[in-house]
Amino acid sequence: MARTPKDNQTDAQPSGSGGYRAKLNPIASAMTGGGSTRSTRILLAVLLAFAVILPFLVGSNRWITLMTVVVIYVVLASGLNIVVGFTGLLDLGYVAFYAIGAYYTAIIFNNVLKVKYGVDLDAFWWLTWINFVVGGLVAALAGVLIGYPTLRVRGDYLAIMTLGFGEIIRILALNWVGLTRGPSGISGIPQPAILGYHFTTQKSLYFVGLALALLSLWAISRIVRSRIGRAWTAIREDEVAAEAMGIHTSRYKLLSYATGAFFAGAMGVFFGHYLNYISPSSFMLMESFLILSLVVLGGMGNLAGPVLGAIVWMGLQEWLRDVPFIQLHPETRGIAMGLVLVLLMVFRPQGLLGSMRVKLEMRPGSKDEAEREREVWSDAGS
Amino acid sequence: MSQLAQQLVNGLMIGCLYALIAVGYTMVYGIIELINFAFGELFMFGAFITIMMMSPDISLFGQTVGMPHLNFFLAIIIAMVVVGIMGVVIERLAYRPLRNAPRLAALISAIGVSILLQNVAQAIFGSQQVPFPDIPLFTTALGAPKAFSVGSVEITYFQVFVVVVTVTAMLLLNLFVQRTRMGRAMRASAQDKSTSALMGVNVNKVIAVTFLIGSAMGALAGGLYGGVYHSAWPLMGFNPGLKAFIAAVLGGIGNIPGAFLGGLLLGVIEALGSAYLPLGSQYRDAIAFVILILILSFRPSGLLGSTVSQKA
Amino acid sequence: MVATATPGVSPRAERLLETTRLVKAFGGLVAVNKVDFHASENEIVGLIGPNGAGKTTLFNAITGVYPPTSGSIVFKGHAIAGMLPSKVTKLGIARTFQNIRLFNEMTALENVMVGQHCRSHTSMLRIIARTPGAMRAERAIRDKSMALLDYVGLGGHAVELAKNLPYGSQRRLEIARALATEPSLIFLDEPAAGMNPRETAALMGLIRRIRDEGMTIILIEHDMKVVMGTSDRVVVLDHGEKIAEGPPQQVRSDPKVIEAYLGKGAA
Repeated sequence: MARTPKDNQTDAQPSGSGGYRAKLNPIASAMTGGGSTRSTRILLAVLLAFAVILPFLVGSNRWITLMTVVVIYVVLASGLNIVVGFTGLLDLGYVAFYAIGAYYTAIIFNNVLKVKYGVDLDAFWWLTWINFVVGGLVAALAGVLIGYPTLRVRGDYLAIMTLGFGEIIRILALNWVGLTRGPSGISGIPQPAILGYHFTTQKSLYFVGLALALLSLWAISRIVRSRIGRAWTAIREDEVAAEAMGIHTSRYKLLSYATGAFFAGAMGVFFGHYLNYISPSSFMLMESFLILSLVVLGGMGNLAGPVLGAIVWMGLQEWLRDVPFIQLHPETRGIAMGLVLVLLMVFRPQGLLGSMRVKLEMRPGSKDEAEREREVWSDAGS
Repeated sequence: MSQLAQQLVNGLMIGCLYALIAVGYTMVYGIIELINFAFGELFMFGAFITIMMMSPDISLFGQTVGMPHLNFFLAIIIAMVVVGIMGVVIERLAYRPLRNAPRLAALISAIGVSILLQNVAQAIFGSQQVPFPDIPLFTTALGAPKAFSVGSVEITYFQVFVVVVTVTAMLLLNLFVQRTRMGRAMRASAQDKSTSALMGVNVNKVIAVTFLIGSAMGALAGGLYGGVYHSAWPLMGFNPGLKAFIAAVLGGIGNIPGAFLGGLLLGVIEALGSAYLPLGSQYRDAIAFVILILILSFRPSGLLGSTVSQKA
Repeated sequence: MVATATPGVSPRAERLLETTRLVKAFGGLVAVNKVDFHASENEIVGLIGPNGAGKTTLFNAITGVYPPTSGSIVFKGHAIAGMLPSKVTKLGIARTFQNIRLFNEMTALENVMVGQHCRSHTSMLRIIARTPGAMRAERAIRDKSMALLDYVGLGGHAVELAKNLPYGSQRRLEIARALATEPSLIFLDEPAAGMNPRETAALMGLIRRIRDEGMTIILIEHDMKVVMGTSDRVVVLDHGEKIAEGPPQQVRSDPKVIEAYLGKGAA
């Protein structure tokens, strides 16, 4: 039963911490990541350092605001990627979950605490942090409710149905004035605070956002690299076969909606506390399309794609905002987005990072475990 | 009672406009199974080009440019031709390369085209509303629309015109699809593209013709819409476009009489709903989406579609 | 074993799977017409018949792809007619597909690991936390899947994308994936289609080995060498009805069967 290494000529694993034995047994090095993991880790470390240090290097708040915006969209795109990229469900109403999270926290703080009970919001500083999770869960519940009618429906109809739901949520926000204050929106959402320290500066708010984003990306990565991620990908690849292999596709589709919605809801809560004010105009249909564009641009179905898409696009957009031509002609942004979508689909549908794929397995936790694994496999082969 | 009748009249008329756009959606979907999101924008361009042809001059890209100042009927026909060609070009560039790609790709491309056209229109015409010139035939000397009354229900001449034009267009289209060679080719391609190709049908040409007709109908709807509501603006197409697709689904996607029926029904339900449901006028746009969810949940093949059971 | 009227047919009590007067109609077309079909433990049953006889439809109705129009299906004592396919799989029925349906953008190993999905139940929270229990469950899945790949002879291709595998390997991968669901009964839908004689011989060996592990195999095949060479019992369908049943040699010389394949006057 031993695998003979000489049969396996296909692998081209780069050398690295994989070592000589791992090179002999491509399966082992692939499973543990071998050299490629190290270069990925270095890249991530650099990116992280950049994200942490940059705010201290730049002078103006404008760049910090830009980075905060990027950080929000990184999570939104990653969340949508779960539904669209991994599970293959074209959700065109994703912004609704973002809105639900934002309105949830706004309503709790403003309508309930301030107006109804007249409480000093400072005493409830801890509620902000809890709301990140609770708002996410409320959005996740909405995800299940919205996803349910789409289960029996084919791809294109699914898209229109989700679009419809997104619009219904927006119309509700606009018209249910008693709850949402309609077009005027809800203001007075307090900034995050911990025990008296208020996150009032752009810089401090950015770091809250960054922390949330890192936590979210970490969680998404772990969820996807598991049997859940495998189930989602199987559904995308061939739903009938997935069901036949024992995956309850309806349940996993709903789980996909709920998970994607959770992260949008959590970021919605952050958005509310960041701006201190929300209104329906932040949650238009075009936002859903924008988030979709970020996912498509970076590359669907892998973890780095939406991150890259968000950084590239939102970064570019904010950076060019001061260019006079673009200020005079705001429609250039839309023209660019439309062109990017069409050209990408025709010429490079896999996006910028398309060829990269996620290994849908849980990686060994520690370096020691990885070493032990490699030895086990290569011993078996020798 | 008279309010009901008035709402019915209004609903019927907007329903005709939905129907004209819905026909395009249903024909295209029937053959290549693509939701052409861009039909709403083609509708919008139809309105704008009609305005352009009717005006003595117009502001394009911020500059005033002289225009032919033609009459309405000529203008709308020109708009139909121009937009029809636009539709063919769009299909050739944005959809044909994706004919064998996964459906997700074509859908995203369609969304891209829609966004692109909206913003191009904004670049050309500005983002504000552009007034639609009065049509002498349908307007009194004082600038009001010529109308007549049946009881206490007021009906404008133009509304009648819209209904007449829509019905005529539907009948002509039906004749075309049922009696001509190209129509037969279209029906065959909708049934089975590959077999039709094997039988000698030039499927590419059929699809191009389908887009030509569908886009022209959309443009017709746009010109008529402008005549009714007296204005056009670059984002006007999105909502009617979406609702027209819902109408097509309601009637049975791929079914041309179904699109007509669906459009009329949707227009009437919307009008009645916004008048009689509590908070109806505010939630008017939501009505169409609720109808969509209901129809897809309970009768996905639509009212006139046939329930075909699938053999795996 | 109790003697029964038809040789090769086991008494009812030992049957693992049994359909009674199973009917599947699509509108006016009756694809499966009152078929009584059964399989016992540790048996290889060949299901043959001309094209359009209803064999795959029978598979699909039993595995839950669509509900039967009427009739009953009992598996291990459970009535499974109309059950969701994933539930049928969890009960212990696995299948392959006539037109290979692999998860193309996943590796061979990942494909097989999907088969193990229904045999582990780690919750999402534990997955995020990477608890030792979760890691153990994942390692078990990976080990078992790797072993299955070796079993079908694909051990060296674990990290290749399914879409890049040669045709014969893809067929074997589908079998490995089906085996990963830990079935008691496995439906193979034309597993030898498109294979050359060497691959076919290897496949026949694999089928026998699977049966020897204790599983029941129901096999749709057009390649008569495979059917006759591996089946303990053969069932023949024609136009949706069962026209013959029994040991391979008996069925192959049954005039009704010959007529079904070659037309009247050929018997």
